[in-house]
Amino acid sequence: MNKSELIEALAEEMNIPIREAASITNTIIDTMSDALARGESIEIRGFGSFVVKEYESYTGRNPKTGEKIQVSPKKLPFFKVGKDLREQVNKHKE
Amino acid sequence: MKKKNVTRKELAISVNEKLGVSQRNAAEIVDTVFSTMKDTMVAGESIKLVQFGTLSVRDKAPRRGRNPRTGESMIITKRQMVSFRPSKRLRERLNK
Repeated sequence: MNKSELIEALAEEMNIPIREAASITNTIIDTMSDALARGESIEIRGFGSFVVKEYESYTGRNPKTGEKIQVSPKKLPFFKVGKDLREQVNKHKE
Repeated sequence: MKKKNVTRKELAISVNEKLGVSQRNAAEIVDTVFSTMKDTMVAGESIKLVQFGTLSVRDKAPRRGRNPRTGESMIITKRQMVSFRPSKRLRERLNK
């Protein structure tokens, strides 16, 4: 599913025009991206949470050449799946 | 200082303030967006939001594990998990 399919599904489900569903979907995605860019977390109950992890700078190696390189500090977003979604997605329960 | 945590409530407020959708409708729409994404992943399909990232459903291979209480060895069956790969644009925004 891509963004336009999500927008179509939302428009149909809520009985609203595609254009409105599109601006709402974009606003939600932008609000989430802005929050992560500020280093904030997102927690959607039953769905999952997004957390920004910060990494210090470290000395790494280019795996191809073995050359040492200095990796600068960086931030990466991580997703942790919520219990409800994890259980529903996992169809091969014991 | 504790970092802020964005929930469905904050997303609904943002939809209300930016687009003038009533708070009640905004809350319902935000819920629908996440339940639609959830249903899609439960059906085994991935979700690709170009400017944000991809949520994909992956198969995890069965492996040998142990019951931590009894120490008994057992096979942990094949299962599914959700993984997130942030888009290049999101990764760049975080490091600006």
